[in-house]
This record gives sequence, structure tokens and C-alpha cells, in this order.
Amino acid sequence: MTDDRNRWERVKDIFQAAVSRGPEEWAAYLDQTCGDDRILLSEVDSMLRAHVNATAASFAGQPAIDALGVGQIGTAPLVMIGQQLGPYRIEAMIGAGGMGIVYRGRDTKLNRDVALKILPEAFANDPDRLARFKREAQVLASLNHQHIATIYGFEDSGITHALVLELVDGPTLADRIARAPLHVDEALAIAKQVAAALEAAHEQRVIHRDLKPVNIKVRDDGTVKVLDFGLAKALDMTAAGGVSQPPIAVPATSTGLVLGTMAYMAPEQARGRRVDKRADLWSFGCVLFEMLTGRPVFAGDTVSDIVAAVMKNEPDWDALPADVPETIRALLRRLLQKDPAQRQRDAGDVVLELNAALLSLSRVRSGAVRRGTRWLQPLAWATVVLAILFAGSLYQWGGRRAEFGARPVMRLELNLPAGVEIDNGYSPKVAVSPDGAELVFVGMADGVRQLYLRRLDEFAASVLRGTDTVWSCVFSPDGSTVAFIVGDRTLKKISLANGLVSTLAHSVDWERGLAWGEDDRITFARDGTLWQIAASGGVATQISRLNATRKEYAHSWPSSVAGGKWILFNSLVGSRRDDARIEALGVATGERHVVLESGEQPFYLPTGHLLFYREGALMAVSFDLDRLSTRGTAVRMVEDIGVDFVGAHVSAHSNTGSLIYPSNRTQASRLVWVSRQGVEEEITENPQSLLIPRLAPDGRRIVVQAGSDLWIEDTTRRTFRRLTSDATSGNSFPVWTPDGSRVVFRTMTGMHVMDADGSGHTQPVSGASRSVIDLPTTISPDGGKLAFIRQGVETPGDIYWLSLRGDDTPHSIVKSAEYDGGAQFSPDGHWMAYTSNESGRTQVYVRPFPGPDRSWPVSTQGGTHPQWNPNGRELFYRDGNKMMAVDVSATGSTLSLSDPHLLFEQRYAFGSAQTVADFDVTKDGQRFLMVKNDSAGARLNVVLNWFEELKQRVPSK
Amino acid sequence: MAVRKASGQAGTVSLLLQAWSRGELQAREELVPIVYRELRRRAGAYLRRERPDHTLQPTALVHEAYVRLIGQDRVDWRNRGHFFAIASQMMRRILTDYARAHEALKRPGAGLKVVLDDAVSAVEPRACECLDIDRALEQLASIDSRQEQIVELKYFGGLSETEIAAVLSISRATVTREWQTARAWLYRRIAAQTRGDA
Repeated sequence: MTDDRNRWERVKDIFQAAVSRGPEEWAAYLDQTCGDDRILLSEVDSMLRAHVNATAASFAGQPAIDALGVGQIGTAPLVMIGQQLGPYRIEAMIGAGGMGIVYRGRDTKLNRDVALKILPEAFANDPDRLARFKREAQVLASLNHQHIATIYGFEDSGITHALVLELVDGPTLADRIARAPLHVDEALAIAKQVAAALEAAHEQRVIHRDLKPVNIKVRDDGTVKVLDFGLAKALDMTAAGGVSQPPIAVPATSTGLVLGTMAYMAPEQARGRRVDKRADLWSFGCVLFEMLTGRPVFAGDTVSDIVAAVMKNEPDWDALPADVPETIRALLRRLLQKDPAQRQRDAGDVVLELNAALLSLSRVRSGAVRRGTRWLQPLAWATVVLAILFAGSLYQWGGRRAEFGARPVMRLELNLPAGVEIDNGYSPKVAVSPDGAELVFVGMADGVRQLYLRRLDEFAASVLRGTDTVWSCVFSPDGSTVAFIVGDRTLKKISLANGLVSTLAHSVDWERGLAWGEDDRITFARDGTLWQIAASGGVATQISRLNATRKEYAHSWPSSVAGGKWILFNSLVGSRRDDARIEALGVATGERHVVLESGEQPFYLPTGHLLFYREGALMAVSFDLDRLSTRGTAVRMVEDIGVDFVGAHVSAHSNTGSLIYPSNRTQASRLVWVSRQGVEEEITENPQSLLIPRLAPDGRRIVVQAGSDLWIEDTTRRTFRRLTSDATSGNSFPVWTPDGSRVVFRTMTGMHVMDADGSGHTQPVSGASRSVIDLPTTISPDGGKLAFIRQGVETPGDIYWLSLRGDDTPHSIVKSAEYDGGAQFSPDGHWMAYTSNESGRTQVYVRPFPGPDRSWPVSTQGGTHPQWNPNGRELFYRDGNKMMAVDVSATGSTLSLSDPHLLFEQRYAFGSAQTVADFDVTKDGQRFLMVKNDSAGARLNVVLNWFEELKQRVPSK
Repeated sequence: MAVRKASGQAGTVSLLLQAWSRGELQAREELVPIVYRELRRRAGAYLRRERPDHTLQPTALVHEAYVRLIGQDRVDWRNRGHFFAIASQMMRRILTDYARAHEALKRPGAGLKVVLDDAVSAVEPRACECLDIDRALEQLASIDSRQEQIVELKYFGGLSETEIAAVLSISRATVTREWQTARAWLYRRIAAQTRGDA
């Protein structure tokens, strides 16, 4: 039991420390902290995944009573489920609101699903209103348009009265807007369909009267349906279209309901005047404005605030994004005219205007590609298109191949579309169709991760809708469909022909790969074992089991070969990358063959080669599919393939010999000098991210963490050499000794000190401990005392020091229940700057060293990463992207500090520790040594006819 | 030491709380039924929509019961903390009883989260977490009783993180961290139990 507890404390500590960092740091952090303890690692890993999912699902997001309380419709409506109403069987409740409760029903005669809107009792008991409603419903039922949700009819069982409606799946426009801002073309495409619906209804003299985002549904394929046409009036929701009479059956949250309606109501409607179709055009203007800006045009906390805004306020035209065409701005001005006489009056004209705008937008867009930043860009695209089509046609006419002889290998770069970024600087996942003609990649625009499709015979990439939060993707063997995994661990597929998205499986491991075999079965990982599901859907079956005696903890990276008979995959045991074994699994038999003892992410090519990764490079080896064994030696083929944030390499291969990958060279991290005014000068560039640079006392050498090693950059000799060796792992947090001869740093086995001359001479500073992690941050100017952050079970972080001469017992200096860190000795050694979030916010403080125990706050608005000016009269710290400075003067045992002032505000790296300065300062205090991460490289490398090179370098027979 | 009888329920509860915080355990036994009755009445009224005015914020239930039973708005947090701790525990019992009683009306293990909105199909049926959380919480309690208490106070008692920090005399940041951890643990446990529906 105590062991369990200790275990749990350990899991909890690492979990909490990880959560306080960003998800992009998790993998590295877990590797660092868990070391070889795979069970611990997988335990924390599963907790982190649960954390992400729980947050996404708002799990336990509101108190239990609130969650139960919204069931306050009472028990009666639930009783309806299962009952029969005419030909309709009531199946589930799907919504409730001012107009009554809505159920999903099954029309047992016509065998279709419908929505059943049960009228409120008060309403149904009034025969006059009911009769009027039935007449209205008949008129409404005559509306028949592709963008209007149809009213099928009225069902009356004597006591229950229900309106039968077309059931429309998909989110409402309000959901869609809440999720992320819409692109202009997307907004206009939706608006066009809404306007077309209005046009059709207005022709039938039906006015919607309550058009708003929650009444508009957007299906996954982009089709729009407008709901509840004319129902507001038919149900007497508003008296003569006004608001003088409150909605019937006001639910507890009716304020929200009224607010939701008022914000889109035309001024004349809000005044209670007679309304005509122009009121709908006003509401339409509000909806269009909201789609473009992401927020309602007229807002307020109370009904009267909103009404006042509707009556008086001019819309905030500046809120419209810059890329909204002028014609649309003018249209919005006409739609949002407060005087109906001045307002746009015809929905049909609106449709035409939107059409024209959409057309010119798509022209501008392809033009924008041509006007790209570099003159090479259009050329590159054109070449790629031609070359890939060329390669594709060769592939199809395989018989004529010989006539052409060996085709030249071509290397090209593709830029991603403007506005599409790489997620956090990590490589975007990419897939290519087997014929090499289509490319799908994961792109990030406006904070939404989506799939983009680039048909290589077109210039523009298009977003595949319904793919939000996508993580990885794979093409079907016929190239018609793409399977993908999204953030909530759902496996889905999207048809490239019609954009239809369907869900295949849940609880899928998003980081362990995906394969779609010739047998039309998709292989994925779930909880670390391999599963398969038919691409057409159905039940998933587990096909692999972990080998307990080998202590396997996961199977991953399936690749389907031999028509789906075998799956090549990785079986993982230890903590090092070398512990990934490549095996073949017989899908029907379950038998397993070891293919390679070490290698990651296996992929079989029709040329008879097995591709895999080892030591960061893409390797190829000849592979005998019949004997499931490799022949000859593996050859390093490509060295610069980028990795995603869990460290997996990203590449895609077509059967035509195209190799597509993001280069890791786009992930450059630079060391730069930055002046006090923010002027930059580059020192060095590295493909791995650089962390915690520290300038030696000679001002010439810089020690910096790259990957899990420390390196020394000599700025005069222009050399960059690895300092640490394989003898220690997890090397990080370097600190120079004041004489510049040695570096103290953190390893997986405690703090070490190493000679900086490259001799490799290393010795431990303190004993290793499993229960705490010590991060060295600063050494006193006399070289005698080392201060460090201790992270452990009892606290997220405290500051300690120990003597570097003799007795190495740690002494506590700063200890609170919260995270204390970032310690830096002042140049005279009498003071210490540090950070603490004891106040609930991380702030920088200074205190005397070693005592007495008092402190002065340095930052006022939150601050971290303290660092002294070597003259001792100034302290720097960071507040977000701001570099702040504070003048310090000490008289005896007291300190006076100026107000912080801004030096410069620019984006620089923030390092892996939250509090330890990820920068240093030159001796004269005039320049800052900073790390800058390059996230601009949103491009893909394309190698065409790569098979030629492969066959030449790795003969397959 | 016997608890001195005071006139009126408010005084009684206040004295019982004081006695309990001094370590007199039988005071707690006397306190429980009074608080339970009060909470049950209030929660039931809320859940059955008997309050015509709907002014009651559901999360304020525990606070309201406190004010009513203790008869004053500001007391030191030590007493108040004791009260909220048992009140949250009782709310857990009341709410899970309620959920269990109503589960029979629905599909097994599932509930409906209804968003009050007049769109046709605005909401989808959604699993009712409350019973699952209650069951998983019993297991969490065996490895981390403080986390159990935090979940009780926050999820069942409806207390804010700041209030929980005061009740347990820990920092707000610690409450956040522990809550996140407990939530992840519960989610993982519940997900593992409901899985297998491939």
C-alpha cells in the first residue's frame, strides 16, 4: 500500500509538472524524468492523455447539480421516448427551447428519421391558436428548397401535437463560428446558400422572422440548411413580429434565448412594427457580419443593451478582416441600414453579389500564389505539377517505361498556401496518393488544424472540411479516400469526391501510425496494440497482443503488405529509440517474425525495399516479401526528414516514386545577439532547438543545450562542438564556473561538472536521487556555491545551494509551497534574484544571500527568467515577449529598485524550464544572447523519381 | 462534553460546528442529519423545478444552506470549511441517489444534457457523468484521499477553487493542480470501464 502511494505520488508529481509545461514539451520531459522506468512513463503518459481528453470533453466541467439540473424539463418529456405518435416512433430527445421540445423520431411508414417538435402544452390547449398554427404549418410545408429544412407536416394524437420536420445533422452555424473564425470564402459560400433560401421563401411570401446562427445548420459537406422558417410567427413567438409579448413556455434560461434572438432582429421588428422580407435581410446582414468577424454585430449583456445597440449603434466596420472584398463591405452596409426603406430589399440580388465576390476571390487567390514572395515559387510549382503528372503517366504506362530509360531524380520545394502554418514549428503530417497526383497535409490556419488537399494539377490547396483537429492521415490504395485521426482519438475517413466524412472507430492512438491495405482494411493502434477495421466500417478487431515476457509496451507504425496478409510494425520495449524492433505480423494467423532488431516506422515499397528510420535518417534495405527478411545492408537515404512533436519522422511515398517530406532544416533554431534596442545579429543556426545559452566569462564561448547534449559554440573560431558524451544522458541546464574552465549541468543521474576543454573529464556534483530532480542555475562569483532548483514530491520547486568545495549538503534558501526557481547570484554574490509563483503569478524577486530572510519584488505585472547585468546595477527579466529592465542599487542590507521599463518586445524562445533564463547578457550589459526559433519554413520537399536513386543505391535483387 | 442547547436551529448548528472543530466527534453525528435534510430539501426543489422564480443558482445551494442553518454570512473558514466538507459529501449522496432514481427512465448508463435553445437538433444525448464519477471516486479515495475531498467539494459541492483552498488551507494553485490530476485519473478510469464497444 505504501509502495502504491509512493508510486502514485511520483506519477502525480511528474504529471503535474508536465501539465504546467506545454504539451510540446511533454515527450522530452517524460523521457528526462522517467528515464528507464517505462511503466512510470506509460502511466504518466496515459494520465496526460486523459487530461487532454477530459479537458476537450469538458469532463466534470460543471458541478453535478448543474449537470443534473438542466434535465429540469422534468421527467415527463423523457417518458415520451419509445412512444408512438401516429406513424412516428419517438426515439430520443435532441433539443429543447422556447418552441417546445424536439425529439428524433422514426417515420415507420416512410422509413426515415425526422425531427418532432412537440408543441408546448399551453399552446396546444388553445384551440384558436392551434387552428391558426395548423394553417400556417400548411403554408410552410409548401416551401421546398434544398437549403430550407422541410416541414413534413403536423401530427396530432389528441393530447400531443407535433410538427414533423426534416432532421438535419451537423453543427449549427453558431457552433461553427464559436469554434474558429471562418475564412472569407467559407463565410461567403455559407451566406450564398442562406441568401438562396431566403430568396426562395420570399418568393412564396414566407418571411423567416428569426434568422440567426443557431437556426442555420452546416453539414460536414458544406451544405447549408436554414431551420424554422416562419415558425416564429406561426407559433406566436412574437406578437406581430414584435417583442411585446414574451415567448411562450419561457424556460429558465429564457434570458439567453431572448438575447439570442434580439441581437439579429431588425430595428423595425424590435419596435414591434409590421415586418416584411427586409427584416430577414437585416438579420442576414447580422449573420454574415458575425461569420466574417467571429462576433455578433450588436452585442450587450441585457436585452435593453442589445436593443439600444440595434437601434443606435453603427456596426464596427473596422472589425471586418482585411481580406473581405470591397463589394461585400458595401453589401453589408446596405443590409445593415437601420431604415428599411434604405435597405437592400432583394435576396436574389444578394445571391448574385456573393457569387461574383466568390469568383473574384478565387482569382485573387491563384494570383496571390503567382505573386509569391520568391520568384522561384511559381516555377517550382509548375515544375512539380508537370513532373509529377509526367511520373504518374509513366507509372500508368508502365509497359513503355524502358523507352525512356532511367528518369532523372528531381528535388523541389513546395510552399504551403499563404496563411497556413506548421503547427508549433513541428513538421506537418503528409500523405500522398498512390499515383502521386494528390497530396494531403495537416496545416494550421487561425489556430485550427485541418487537412488540406493539393491536387497537383491545380495551383491552390483546398481545406477538407470536417477534418478539424486532425493529427495524421493516410490515402486509400485507390486514392479516392483519406483516413485520418482527429484530436479526440476518433478514426474517420473523408471522400475526396464528395467531401463526406464518416467515423470508423473511437479511442484510437493518434501517435502510433495508420495503414490502409490493398484488402481495404485499415490498421491502427489502440492502447498500444494493433487493430483493424474494414474501410467501409463495422467492428474493429484486435490483431496483435503485447508480449509480456519481452516487456513490450506498445505496437505501432503498421504498414500493410502482401495484399494485407502481413502487417509490418514496430514493437517497443525500452526507453531508447534503438529498442524499437521491426516485425511482421500475420493478420490471419497472428504469427510474428522479427524483420530487423532495430528501426522505426517501417514502410514497404513496391520496388522490393523496406524503408525505416534509424538514428534520425531514412534508411532503405532490400526486402524479400516471401521470406519476410531483409537482404544486404541498409543504406542511409535521406538525412533531413522533419519530426513531429512526439518525435516521429514525417514522410510519404507514392507508388510512382515520389517522396514527400518536410525538411528538419525548416525547424532551425538560432542563437542571436540582440541589442538593448532589439536589433538582432545572428551567431549560429542549428536544426535542433537550442536551449539555455550561457556565455563564458571570456565572452567568446557559449555553452548551449541542443537535443539532450550540451554544445560549445566558439564565436571567434566559428566552431560548434559537442561537449557532453554518451556517458551521461539528459544533459541540460549548463552553468559556467566563474573561471570559465568547467560547466556544471544536470543529467539523468544528478548534477555533474565537466571540464570545458573537450577532455571529457566529468564528475558528479551531488548524489543522484530518484525522488528529487536538481536543476543547477547559478554559481557564486567566488566559485564556491552552486544554487539549484530542487523539484520533488513535496514541492514543485524550491531553491537550494551546496558548497562546491568540501561538504556538499544542500541548504534551503527559498522554499514555498509553490514553484520557486530561476535563481541567479548577483555579480557581487551578496544577492540572489529568483522567481516564485507564491502570489499565484510568477514574479521576480531579489533577496540577500545567504540571509537575512526578506525579499523585494522586482517585477510588477508578472515576470520570469531573471538575469543580472554583469555590472550588478541592473536586473533583466522577461514578461511574455517583453524584455524588461529594473535599476538596482544596494546600500548595506537594503535594496532600492526602479520601476520596470521595457527594452524590447520580440518573440524569442522560452526554453524548457519555466523560470530559468533562456538568455544571457554580455559583460558590458549591452547585448543579449537569445534563442530564436524559426517557424516560417512552411514548405515540403518533393523528390520525384526517387525510386531510380533507390534502385541504384540499394539493389533489390 | 455535552453540547449546549441553543434556541433555534441556526444556533444549534453553529454550536455543533464549533464543538466538532474542537474535536468532539459526536457533534458531527448530530450535525449530519440536520444538514442532510436541509440540503436534500433544497436540491430536490431545484431538481424538480419547484422554485417558481428560478433565482436560485444551483451551485449556491451549499452556501444558501449554510447561511440558513448557521444564520450568519461570515464565520471563520475553519468552521465554514468543516461545514462545506460534510455538505459536499452529502450533496454527493443526494445527487447520486437522484441520478440513480432517474436513470431508470433513460437508457442504462446514459443521460441527456439538454441545452435550452430553440434550434432543432442543438444537442446530442450525452452520458451522465455523475454516477460514473461517484463510482470511480471511491477507487481514487483509496490512493489519494485529499483528491477525493477536492472532487467532492468542487464537483458535488459546487465550491470554487478559491473556496476549496480556504477550506483545506492549501494554495489555490495546489487545488488547481490536484483537481486536474484527479479529473484525469477519473476520466481515465471511466474511459477504461466504458471501453470495449469497438
